[in-house]
Amino acid sequence: MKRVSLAAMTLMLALGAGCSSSGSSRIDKAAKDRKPAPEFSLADAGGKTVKLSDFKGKVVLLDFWATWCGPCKIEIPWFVEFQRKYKDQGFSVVGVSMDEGGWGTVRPFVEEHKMNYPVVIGTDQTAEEFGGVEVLPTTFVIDRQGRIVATHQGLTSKDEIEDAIKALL
Amino acid sequence: MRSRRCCSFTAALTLAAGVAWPQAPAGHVVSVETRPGLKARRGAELEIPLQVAIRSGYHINSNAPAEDYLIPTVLSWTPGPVAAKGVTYPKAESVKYDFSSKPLLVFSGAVPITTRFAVAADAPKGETRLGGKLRYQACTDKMCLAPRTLEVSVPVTIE
Repeated sequence: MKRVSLAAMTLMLALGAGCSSSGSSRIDKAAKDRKPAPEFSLADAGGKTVKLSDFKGKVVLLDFWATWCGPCKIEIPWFVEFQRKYKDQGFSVVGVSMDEGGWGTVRPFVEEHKMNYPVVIGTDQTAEEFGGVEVLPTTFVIDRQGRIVATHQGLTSKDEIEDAIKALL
Repeated sequence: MRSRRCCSFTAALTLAAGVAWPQAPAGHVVSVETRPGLKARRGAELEIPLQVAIRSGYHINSNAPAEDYLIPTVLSWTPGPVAAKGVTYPKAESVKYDFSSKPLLVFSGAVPITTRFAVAADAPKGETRLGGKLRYQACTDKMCLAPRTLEVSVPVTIE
């Protein structure tokens, strides 16, 4: 419990410091206030079903993005780096593409940007269930219990996101 | 966010002579106005100017963006006795953003788009409405909104 509180406090301080410099962030301060992330079941490029619950027990950075979203292209290399650095500590990035063009559009982008984490194509329902994702990028930081700790709309600072991840690991 | 969602966000805009242009619904960053009282003769050509207004801080991609992955702005019209013959977009601004290695061609602020129409010799006389769609995708330097379509309806009197 003590560890959770400390992590939450560190996260609050880390995220609070950078909020004004970029998009908007919502941080659920106390563990008891965190809401469970909605479940989804979506196919990856290979047709394999990916569920959010597959990542239970891990810290997850869930990124809603699109190939036509310029600011998303700034964040994606950071996420590739986070995946490499923290994967072995129980962390995963999961990308949810909101492209209309399907894998024909998304696959070349994934390959070009060497995205080393699971990527699925989201639906309107997925966006609705996550509170109506209207802005890209939107990223959710999810704790090991599958609860949403923080939501970032728009381009966020790299340090802000990395501090949030480290605080939960 | 994808096409079905975009349809649900589509706002029906009516361009009516002498009536104030309705405000774009909450969440829309683009609105469209035209000149009221448009008239045309059978067999003649007609130019219709649309004034596209983009909310401060936002840009939309031009009709010919500099990168293939960007969604262009497209104004299209429903075929009919008053048929669109060509759409003229203004010169785009060239703006460098952090996320792109080269400047992008975008529109911001007030954007005039003109369409040239040909009126059929046997077009019915009286008032008609020209239906169009403005497809765009808006961003700031920090975030993007889903592609959206504004429906445009322009009243024209055929004489």
